[in-house]
Order: sequence, then structure tokens, then C-alpha cells
Amino acid sequence: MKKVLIPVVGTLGAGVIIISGMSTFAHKDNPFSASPPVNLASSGNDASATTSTPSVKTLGLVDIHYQLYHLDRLASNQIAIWIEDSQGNYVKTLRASSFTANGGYRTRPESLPEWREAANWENASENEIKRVSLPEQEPGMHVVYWDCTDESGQAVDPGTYVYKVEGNIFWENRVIYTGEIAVGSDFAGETKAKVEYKPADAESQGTLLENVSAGFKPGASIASAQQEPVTQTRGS
Amino acid sequence: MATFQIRAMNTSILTAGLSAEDAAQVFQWFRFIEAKFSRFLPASELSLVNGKAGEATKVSELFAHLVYESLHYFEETGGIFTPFLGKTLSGSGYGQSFEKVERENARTDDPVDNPTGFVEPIRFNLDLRTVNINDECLFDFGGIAKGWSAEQMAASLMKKGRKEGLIDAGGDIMSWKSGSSGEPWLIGIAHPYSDDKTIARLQLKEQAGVATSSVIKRSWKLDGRKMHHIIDPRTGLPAESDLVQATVIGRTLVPCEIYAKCLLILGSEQGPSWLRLRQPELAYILVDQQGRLSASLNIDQYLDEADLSKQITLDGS
Repeated sequence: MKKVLIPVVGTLGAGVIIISGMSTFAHKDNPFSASPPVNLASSGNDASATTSTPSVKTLGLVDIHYQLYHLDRLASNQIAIWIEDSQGNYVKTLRASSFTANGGYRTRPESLPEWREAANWENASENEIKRVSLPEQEPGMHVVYWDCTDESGQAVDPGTYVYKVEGNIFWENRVIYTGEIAVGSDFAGETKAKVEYKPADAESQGTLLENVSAGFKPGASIASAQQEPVTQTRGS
Repeated sequence: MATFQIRAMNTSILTAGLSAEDAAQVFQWFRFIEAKFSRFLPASELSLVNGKAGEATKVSELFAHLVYESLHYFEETGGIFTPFLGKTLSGSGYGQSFEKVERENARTDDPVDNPTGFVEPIRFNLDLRTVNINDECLFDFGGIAKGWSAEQMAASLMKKGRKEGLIDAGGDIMSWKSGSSGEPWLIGIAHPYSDDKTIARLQLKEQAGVATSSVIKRSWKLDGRKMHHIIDPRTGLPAESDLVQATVIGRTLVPCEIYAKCLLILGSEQGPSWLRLRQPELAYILVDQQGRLSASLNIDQYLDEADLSKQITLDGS
């Protein structure tokens, strides 16, 4: 190993550290305080930073399952999962592929057009984009959860809701799964989604998604669900 | 699991498992730290200290704490970690916030020559709490400020009795769970070239810190030469080991942040044995330039899902 050009060290005896010789301080306790100042805690709630509101009492938890395949081709493997009410009004996006969610649709407008229109995604906030961005997933069965809140974090009313999963198979060739799920205190149950290809012959381009279904557990909270990794360590 | 997220310190800060009030406190802390330790804010305490290089300058208690902490690791690592690279980084073209650096054609007003001799980088008077930084060095706390901030805030929240929480400061993660508060935290290790891909999955029980360093993420070109922000203090130039990414896991975050960087500088041959001599309890996963993964023998306690025998594709896509 080459010699380190800036050798460490100094003396503590006189209370002065001069980094130039042999060290004596490295294993001593840091004499200075670093606790976060108390006044930080009382300087107000940074509500704009939040991406969800954990204290909301909701109806329960919807889990949406899907079988994902990987298509080894261009302009594919983008998916979005969102909720609408029974009248077709947008409620909330659960997850969307990172490329499209972060603006990839500007260079590839074929990416997830139905979801983008429903969610008015061109006007999504930065926090919303970060909340839903879905890193590339391995092929296999996956699950996402809806905690029965809308995009503002408020609990939705009991009733029937529509879950949708859109996927790009190859450029404009897409698959869309649509299913209904009833949420409310008496509505525990499971449903299967129906598949539609756009255009109709898109199915011949390959299989991206299958076996899309959902279940509702009254009273369950999202904290009780087995999650995907909450975040990732990465170089910065 | 409720998560909250903002941007600060030119990166993403995320909390999980914390109340909205605690998350807000975390975010305020990071903004406070950024205002104090940023190399790119003219009014930060760090900029003021660097601007008075050659003079004994009175510093805040917090600043003194981080200087001391940095010197601790400066010594422990034999100078492989150093907080005295401010001038070197600026002279390498990284003299402003990274999103403003022209990646293909960075510029510098003050190019650095390769260091050829020893300079005394600092005089630190503990009694008077003054710092005199050499103007050939200048402070850059870089990653240690992020990791240290997350660790300090996590300690504060644990002290207040929060049973669980996770603070992610741009990929430097501090998490804790105590008692019977549920399943371990699951976190991914990002692919060196794409945060959309994961090369392994970790489960973090009780208290854990995780940090990853990469030579890919903050890279640019200066006079046609490829540069990145992991500087080898032995040469004053971007590290040129066989590794592209190093992840280190331990009980606290700051050592992970420090040693991930050191492993990246030292490479796969020298780094692991060097680490074992200093911090044998730390676990690591390394990615070399061919995409091969390697890990410490004690990684099993943290691994949830990984195939360490595989070679990942490093095509930059």
C-alpha cells in the first residue's frame, strides 16, 4: 500500500489536535454534543413533505396480486396499478413503473396512456411521483396494497371500487386488467380481474401480466402487510 | 407502512415507520444540517470555515462534533477516509452542487496538481473550540454528514421511546426495531447502474446501519478525463480499484458510510482483510468491474434474498 499523503494525528494533552504526527485521540469519546436541537421538534409540522397520513382510520386493506413476466424487447415491461370508483372517477395510483412515472412518457408516449390519462399524471407532484415509482421487478407473483385512502390520504367511503392494471407489451400494444372490489365493514372477499388487450391482437405480442386478483380484509392496516422492500441502499 | 419523503442535501430523504410529526422533525434536522455543512451554500458554517482557511475560527458545538468524528475515522482508517478533500473535489470539477456540474465537460477555476508532499491539514483547539483548516485542503464532509445526521436523529428518536423507524438519507440507512414490533425491515441493494434494479435484499433486525458507495453515480468528465467523487487520498485522484460499488452493514451507520468508501478505494484484494483488522463485525457486499458479487462471511445475518454466485450485467442500461 502506498503511503498516505496526509498522515493522521495529534495530541490531546493540551487540548489541541494538530494533524501531523502520532495520534492519541481516536479512541476517546467525542467531547462535543451532537443531539438534534430540541427546538427542531417544536418548529411546526412539515405537512408538505408527507406522502401519506398514517393516522387515518380506514375501512381496511385491499391486496392486489399479479403474475408478472419479463419481455425481452423494447418499449415493454411498463405497468401501472390504480384505483377508480364505480363511476370511473380516479381515486389513487398504487404503483407505476419508474421510467413512465418519472416522465419517460415524454419520449415514449405509448407508455401506459390509460393510466396517465386517468391520473392526470402530467400534473403529478414530485412527492406523488416518488411515492408510486416502482423499481423493475423480477418475474413472478407480486402484490401491492391499497389502504383504502384516496390520493390526498383521506379514507374512502364504503362501496365498490375498480382496480386496474395496465401493462405495455410492445410499444402501443397493451394489456389492461379490470376488476371490482367492494370495501366496507361487511365486504370481505376476493375477485378476479378481466383482461382486455389493446389493440385486440396485442395478445399475440407476448404475455406480460396474468392472474390479476384482489382481496379485501376489513379493518386490516397496511402495517400488517408483508411489503416489498421499503427502500434501497445505493451509491449517491 | 407509512413513508414520508423530501429532497434535501441534494438527495432523497425518506422515513418509514415514523409518525408524521417525527418525520417532520427528521426533515427539519436534515435541512438544518444541510444549511450548516453544505460545501455549496456560501452561508453555511462549513463555507465560512473554509473561507477563513489559515485562521483559527470558532465553530459551533455541532460542527466541532462532526470534525472530531471525522478525525476519529481519519485516524482509524490511516487517512483512507479524509474530510480534507474540499479543495481536491473543487479542483476536479465538482465545485458546485452536482446537478449543476456539466457531466460531459466540467470546468474548474482552480485545477489541483497531484499532491506531492505532506501538508498539515488542520489545527483543532478543543478547549477554545477553534478550527484552523489549511487552505490546501479545505473541508468536505460529503457522505459522513448524511450518515452521521441519520444516526444522530435515529438515536434521538430511540431515546424518546420510538420502538421502530427507518431513516434513509440518499441510500445511507439507519433502522431500528425493538421488542416485538413486527417483521424486520426489508431493503434492497441497488444495481450500480440503475436504482430501478436490485441486486440483493437485506433484512434488518433490531438496530442496523447500511451504506453504499459507488463510483458510478456522481461521475463527470474534466478535460476528457473520467472523474468521480470517490477520491483516493493517496493520489488525490478518483479511486481506480477493481470495485464499482461497496455496501457495508453494521449496527451503526457512520462506520458503514466510512468503510464502504474505503473498500471502494482499496479494492477487492486489499480491502476485505484491511477491514477485518479494523472493524471485523461489519458485513459487506462488493460489486467489481465485471459485475461479480462478493461478500463477507458474516453477511448471512443480514441477507434476505441474494444469489452471490451470479454475475450481474454492467452495461449501464
